[in-house]
Amino acid sequence: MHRDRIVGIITVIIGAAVALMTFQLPDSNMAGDVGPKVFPFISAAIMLLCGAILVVRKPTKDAKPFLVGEQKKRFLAIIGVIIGYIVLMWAAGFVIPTLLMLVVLCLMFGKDEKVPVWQAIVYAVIITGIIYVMFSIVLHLRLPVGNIINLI
Amino acid sequence: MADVFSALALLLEPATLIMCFAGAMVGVILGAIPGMAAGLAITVMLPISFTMEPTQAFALLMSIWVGGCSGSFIGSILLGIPGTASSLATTYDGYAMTKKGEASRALSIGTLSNFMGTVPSVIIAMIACPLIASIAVKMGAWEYFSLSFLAITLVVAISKGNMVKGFIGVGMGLLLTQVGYSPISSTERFTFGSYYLAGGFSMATVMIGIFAGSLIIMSYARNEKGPTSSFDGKLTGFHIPKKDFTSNIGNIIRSFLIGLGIGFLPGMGAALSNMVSYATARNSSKHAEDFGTGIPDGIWAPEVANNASVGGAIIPMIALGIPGDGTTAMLLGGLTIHGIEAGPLMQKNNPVFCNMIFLAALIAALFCLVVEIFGIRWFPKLLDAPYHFLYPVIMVLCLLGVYIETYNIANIIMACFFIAVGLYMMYAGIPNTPFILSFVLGSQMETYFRKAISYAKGDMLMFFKRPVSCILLIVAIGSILVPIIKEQIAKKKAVKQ
Repeated sequence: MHRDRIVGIITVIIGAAVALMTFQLPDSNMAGDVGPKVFPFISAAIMLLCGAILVVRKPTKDAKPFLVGEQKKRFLAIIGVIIGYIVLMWAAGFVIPTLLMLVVLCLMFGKDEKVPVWQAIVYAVIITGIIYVMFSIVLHLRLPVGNIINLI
Repeated sequence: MADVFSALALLLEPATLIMCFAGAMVGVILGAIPGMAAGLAITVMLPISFTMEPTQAFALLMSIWVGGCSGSFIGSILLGIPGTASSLATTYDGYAMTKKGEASRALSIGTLSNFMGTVPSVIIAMIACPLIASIAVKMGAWEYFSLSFLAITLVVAISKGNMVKGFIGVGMGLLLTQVGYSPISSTERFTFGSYYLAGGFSMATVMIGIFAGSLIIMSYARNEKGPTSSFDGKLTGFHIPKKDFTSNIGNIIRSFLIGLGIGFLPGMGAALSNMVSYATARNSSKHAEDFGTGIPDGIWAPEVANNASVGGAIIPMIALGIPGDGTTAMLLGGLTIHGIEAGPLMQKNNPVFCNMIFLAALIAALFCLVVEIFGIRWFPKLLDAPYHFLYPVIMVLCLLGVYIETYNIANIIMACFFIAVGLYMMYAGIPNTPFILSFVLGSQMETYFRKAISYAKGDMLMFFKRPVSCILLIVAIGSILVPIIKEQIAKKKAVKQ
């Protein structure tokens, strides 16, 4: 199926879901107010109408593939690294997960340039240090401390 | 005038000046690197700036914006690859001059034309904003709703051949503003009982997801790393032959006015003004055939115009509270978080801060000029940007920026949801700007709409009975219908032939 049609179907589904949920909203209790339903209905109507146009309209040209071959693997790999970072940050706080994340991402982005591991480590240590000093000491912000202690 | 001096005193404090300088430097560097742009830097800095003093935060953000608009010509001239779309037209003659061995001359013209575009346009904005605000303050809820509606339709109208997807972006943007408590009646909407959704989505979380996160993920997935070639010529210092300037005074003034005018219109901005002014300069030139072969006229025109758009875009942002593009939308969001409401009353309620914003832009332009004059020999280094060092740190700063808003990992998970939305928008070909504008304006549009109906005792036609509101709505509807009708006529003509 052409990508525009897929997008059209998704948009219609979202529009219909929003419209259904909007029906369940209460009316405004203020005199003269048109209420909180009007704008959600407008959003739903826009989505339903535009989605339907995309479904019905003859696609003008073939869409370029979003990701091809190796790109799909790369896409999943970076998503995995980011999810891993968030989970680790929740568990172990800022310092160690950030060091790991920077090393891994630096090596991933620098694969073609053959960035040596030592360079990625030095880079990660420097950047983590700078961020720690800037956030914690200069701006007095709290960085994630991790929940692993609570779990134990 | 006292307000201007008070604002200047605030800006001349060492910490604020450092922010201006740092912002201008970051802006020029990221503006020069293809694929980065100052908008990305503003996205990353937005949540961090919330923790700063408003003066310092806005000195930083305005300087990044001005620096970013200024730096984009470097890639255009040295490699024929613009840092951002705002310097696309500069590649035609800028790169041609580089190929002729005149890179230093081209860069010098670019540097000066940036300054000559930004400074007068910001001064004009400084004068125009109070005047426009004094008129705008008389507008009611009807006019404000219609004006916001017009801003959105203008942005959708320029989603070339993609108006339907532009409207899907509008629907999505509006929908996101409806999560949480509604304006006026405080009704809980689409929160699914979650405590985290009750407050709605913050600007920084949405922007970081849609703009920055998805951009970095796709850059890695598609292995996009900017220019593959590098500049290997020689650069001398800053130098502009007197004739290059004197023979282009008319061109500069014309391009400036084009840039200012286009910058003022929502959705247009520097990306369009540089192309229009280049085309106008070529069409009105006595030696039009020389354009594209490497002549100074072809650099003055786009570079003055794209930087003049800065001043043009500030006017609706400050005087009316209407953003023209994604970057000004983020700046407006930044103002709101600092408790300052942009719009006609801002001049009255926060006159010093208002002037500080203008002066920060002027000081940033001055810093850019100095940095670019003395740093001209190092420009090629910027284009050999180590993406493998830049992207990881940007990603970490994005996620930490989102975290420090609420000190909760849940906010990071929310940002991940918006990264997914951003990726979906890329997949679907849904343009960013209509989405962002609707997200920024959605809540206040709903407030104005509901107030307007309430004040008019339910009379919906009041939007058309009030002359200014009526004109704005007619222009808005026309901006959507005219391109559709034109397209249909063109199709019929094509069928007949």
